[in-house]
Amino acid sequence: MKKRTLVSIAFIVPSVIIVGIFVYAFIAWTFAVSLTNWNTLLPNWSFAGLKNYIYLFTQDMRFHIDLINNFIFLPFFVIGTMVVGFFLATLLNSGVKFESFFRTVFLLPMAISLVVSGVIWIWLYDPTNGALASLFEIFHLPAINWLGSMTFALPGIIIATIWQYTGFTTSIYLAGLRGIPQEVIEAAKLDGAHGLRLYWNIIIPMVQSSTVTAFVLMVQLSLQMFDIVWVMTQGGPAYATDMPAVYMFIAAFKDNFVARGAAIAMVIFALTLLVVIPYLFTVGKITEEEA
Amino acid sequence: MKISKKVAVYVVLIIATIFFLFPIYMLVITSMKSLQEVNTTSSWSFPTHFDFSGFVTAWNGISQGFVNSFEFTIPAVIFSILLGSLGGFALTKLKFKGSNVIFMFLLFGMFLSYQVVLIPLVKFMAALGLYGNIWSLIITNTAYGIPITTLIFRNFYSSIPTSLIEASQVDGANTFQIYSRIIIPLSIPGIVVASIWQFTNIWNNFLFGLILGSMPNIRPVTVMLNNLNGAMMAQWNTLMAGALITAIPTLIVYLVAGKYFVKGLLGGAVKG
Repeated sequence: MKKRTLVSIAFIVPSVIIVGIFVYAFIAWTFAVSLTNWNTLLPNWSFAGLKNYIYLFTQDMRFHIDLINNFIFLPFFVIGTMVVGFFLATLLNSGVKFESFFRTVFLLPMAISLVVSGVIWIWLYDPTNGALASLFEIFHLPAINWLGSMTFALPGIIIATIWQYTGFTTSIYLAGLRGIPQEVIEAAKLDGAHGLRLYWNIIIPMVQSSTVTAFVLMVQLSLQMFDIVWVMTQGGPAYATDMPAVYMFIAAFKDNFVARGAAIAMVIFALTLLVVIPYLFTVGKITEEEA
Repeated sequence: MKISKKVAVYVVLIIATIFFLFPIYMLVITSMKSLQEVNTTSSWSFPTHFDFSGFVTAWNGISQGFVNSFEFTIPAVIFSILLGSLGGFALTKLKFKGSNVIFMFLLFGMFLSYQVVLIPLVKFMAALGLYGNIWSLIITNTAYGIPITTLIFRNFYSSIPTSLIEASQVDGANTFQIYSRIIIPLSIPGIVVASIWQFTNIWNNFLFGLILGSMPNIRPVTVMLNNLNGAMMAQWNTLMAGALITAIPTLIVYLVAGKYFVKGLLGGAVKG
């Protein structure tokens, strides 16, 4: 082996070992736990096969509700952040003044913790004196107890998360739009492509890689949505905002259903892989072409 | 026609600005009101007189967390940057067989749903005797920062010409000398981007603190803010003051160095 290879190994080995343990070994560990009867305070490694998974999918009403909530949350959040993000990026890219001011404002929520955002939004949604209640009063609309309502709690959380993450998709799309060569747009315009047709036929296809990136990131965020739900509602009222990640935390760390928590975690992980694996393959192809 | 279109663009941008800034406005003004003034129907209005009692109460509740967060965030930022820089250097400038596989191996960690590692994480830290120790948070945040810092430095080092390294090899410098004398000094912009991104992410993290921060002496500020939220029901001035205190370090970093924050964001998102 060449000396150079040995040195490279020395440089990269610490990272490989740490990621090997904290990512790969831990996933295997969680999977192993999910196949046991460890639904007790003390560890119990007796083999249970797929019992925990079967319970989740056939009997566990809470888990069914969580999946439904998550699949209601997901399209609103993903489409909301992507459509608004693309739209705002387009406006920012149209040569407006104070562009950097607007960009800074839109991305500001990304710089603060979801716990902070959660606490702020609880106050905005407060049914007695909250800002939204005051706004509704101006228009003589009935006050809504947003986070205490079976109907409005989930939309309330969706709005707060869209507020948090739209700056992210805006930035991704803005970088994509900036990457389109000006000549391409000019040429398309000369060919008579204007307005919506210009967007549909030229611009949207040319920011496809931004769309893929934004989609993968937003779907992944949806599937593991925990922080803001935990802070704002803890899954309530009556599971109206409960998510698999919330149930996983409660099962594994509060109720000592460790194996069940591990099984929920594996389900979340498997769902994430559905979007992440194809994405990593395309990224891998691109980096190979670069090299 | 042209002018009306321009006006429409600005109107939409201003509406978006109000949407994004309004919660921040409420955060700031509410934190400076007395509890009496908060409990009126005019929650939108500017404080009639400034009252900072909310900050005093909030600080009493979360100051320990504020200190704790600095205590584990700064070492974790440093360690994850060091590892990411070494790895990024090896992956780009010392290209070896299988370097792409190693890169994918590390990159996968960026797309991890943390739920799938939480149970082993607690057991592992307990087995090491680190549960309840600040090092559990330092190690955890370092470990899960490696994928993104490696990616940032890999992308950054790709732009440094290889000829520079080859020239110094001809001059007889060994790899460690090349790394410490040539790469590190050139890395400053990469270090700035990675440290801002890592600082923001680690400071803002909630989940690791929630499961590892069982003892108040290591509990992060985000977890303490959430506890304050449970303890101070409807004391909005105190809660907003607490939220503002928690947000201040990352907000300052963002407002001072937003340009680099975006680079970190996109470094992990677009370039892949």
